[in-house]
Amino acid sequence: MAATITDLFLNPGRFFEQKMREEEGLKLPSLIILIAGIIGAIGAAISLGPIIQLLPSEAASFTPVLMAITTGAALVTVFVIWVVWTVVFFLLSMPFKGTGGFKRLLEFVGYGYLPQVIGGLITLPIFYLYFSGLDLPQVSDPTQIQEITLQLMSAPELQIAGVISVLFLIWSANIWIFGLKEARNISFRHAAIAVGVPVGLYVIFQLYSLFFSGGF
Amino acid sequence: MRNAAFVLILLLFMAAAPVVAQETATTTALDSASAAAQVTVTEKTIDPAVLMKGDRATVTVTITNNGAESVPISRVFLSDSDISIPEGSYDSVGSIGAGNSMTFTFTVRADVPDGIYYPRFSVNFRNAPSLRDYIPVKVESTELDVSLVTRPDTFSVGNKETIVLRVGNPRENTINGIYIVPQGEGVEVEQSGSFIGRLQPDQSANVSFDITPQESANLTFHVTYRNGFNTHVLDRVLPVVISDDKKAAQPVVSNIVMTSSGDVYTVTGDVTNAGLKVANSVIITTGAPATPVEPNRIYVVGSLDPDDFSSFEVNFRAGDVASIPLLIQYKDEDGNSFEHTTQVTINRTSSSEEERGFPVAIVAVLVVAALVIAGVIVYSWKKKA
Repeated sequence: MAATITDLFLNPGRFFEQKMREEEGLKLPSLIILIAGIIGAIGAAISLGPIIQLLPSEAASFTPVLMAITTGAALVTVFVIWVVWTVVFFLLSMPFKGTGGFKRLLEFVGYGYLPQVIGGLITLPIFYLYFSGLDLPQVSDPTQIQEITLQLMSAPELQIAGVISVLFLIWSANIWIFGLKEARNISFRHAAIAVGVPVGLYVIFQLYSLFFSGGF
Repeated sequence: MRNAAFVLILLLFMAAAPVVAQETATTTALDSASAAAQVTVTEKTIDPAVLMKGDRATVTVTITNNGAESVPISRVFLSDSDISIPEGSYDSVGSIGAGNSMTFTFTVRADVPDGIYYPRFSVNFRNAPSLRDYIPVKVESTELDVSLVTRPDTFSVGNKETIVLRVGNPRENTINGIYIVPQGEGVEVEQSGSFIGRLQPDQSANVSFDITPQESANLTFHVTYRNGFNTHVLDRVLPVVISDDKKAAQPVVSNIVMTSSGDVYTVTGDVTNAGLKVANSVIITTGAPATPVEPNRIYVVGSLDPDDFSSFEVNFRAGDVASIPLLIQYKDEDGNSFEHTTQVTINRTSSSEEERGFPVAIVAVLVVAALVIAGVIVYSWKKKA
């Protein structure tokens, strides 16, 4: 019986057990990461729109370049973070005598990004509704641009969107625990520690940034 | 016989003696009258020449003995039934020598209605008829004329204006020591007073005062002057009523557009001088409860001619208020500062409207997402078990 997306969400243990019987493959995980990257790039473009309004009219010619760099960076960053999470989990599972390969773990971590795709689809409209309604004045002082940007990012809408993203990251972490357990052949408890510690620290950092540092 | 002749001669002598004495006295009286007739009034002056009611004046009369003999004078006096003459008599004069003059001075007081009065000057001689003359004393109570030549149409608080007074002398005599002192609470006058001095008949003089009213008040000009040695005070009251200057600069704000970025608002618009005078040093900013912020805490427009306009832009922060005051500060040609306030309604953009309502919906999404994720995680862990 083939593993389904429903299993991934509701019974990830069985999903990854079945995947372990299949050949390692990164096509589907890469597609998931790509979708997550596209969503992130769209979000970055939406966020950048009002920031560009702040720039002086002389800097208008740089707008397309700036937009391309930002969206491209957002897209690439998702792939980089995918690898980073996998490396972290791989390393943290080593003390627990994990035996599975890196590619299998990369595949399972990629599957674990699917909740974040859903989270991105939920937060994207929030970003759009918030940023599309802003009308900002042009300013020339870079410190003022920074000040206004911080004010924009500390809006309640964006803070709630950030919390939603954290919730979906926790959901991903839950999947990653099951994936790490199967991919590295370690106990559920050890997998929970290997995933829970770095993700927990990241969540704390994210929440601190949201509520105490004025934005993302 | 010889005795009888002696008695007859004696009787004749006795009979003739009174006749001779009478003839001698008559001759002497005629001589005195003749001498007194040579005494005449040669000069009579009055200072001031024209009195006002209640004034005192000095009457000076000079008599001259044009004869060759000294003339004894028993009394000299000035009298009148209307004019008051406190000390009108010289009782011990003596004689006026041949070719000599004597001057008599009297003080008169004109507690009488306007008109011309004629006090009688009398010189009583010994053994001769008196010398009489009448001194005309003119009483005329017309005062100085004080009129406003220049004054502004309106007064405004703190706005310096120039008042020009004209002081005219409609009297027949010269007026001295004219001095004007302005006085009024609530009105600042740059000059403490103005001295004109002497004004000849039918002459006038202009004096100006720079006044700065702080409130509506009566400004009194105390005009002090002297008619001879009589001091008079005349008050002229100028009501200073604060009202709008009809020609004053009038900044009008229009074409207001408000945008926001976070809690920083930007107001742009045009300010037009709809008045008839120039508005100098025009500055635009926002007042409490708004807090001006960079880059345009204040916007300096500069000088605005009548019917001229300029665009402006100011930035501010404001709390949860519906409107904020836009302050337009400017100065007139004299440097007086003015402030014009225009209330600007804070136009919250659609996103701002959503800032109040939208988070509720997002929070609902957050709660639902949290419940779903928690449920899924719990369910997945139960499945594992």
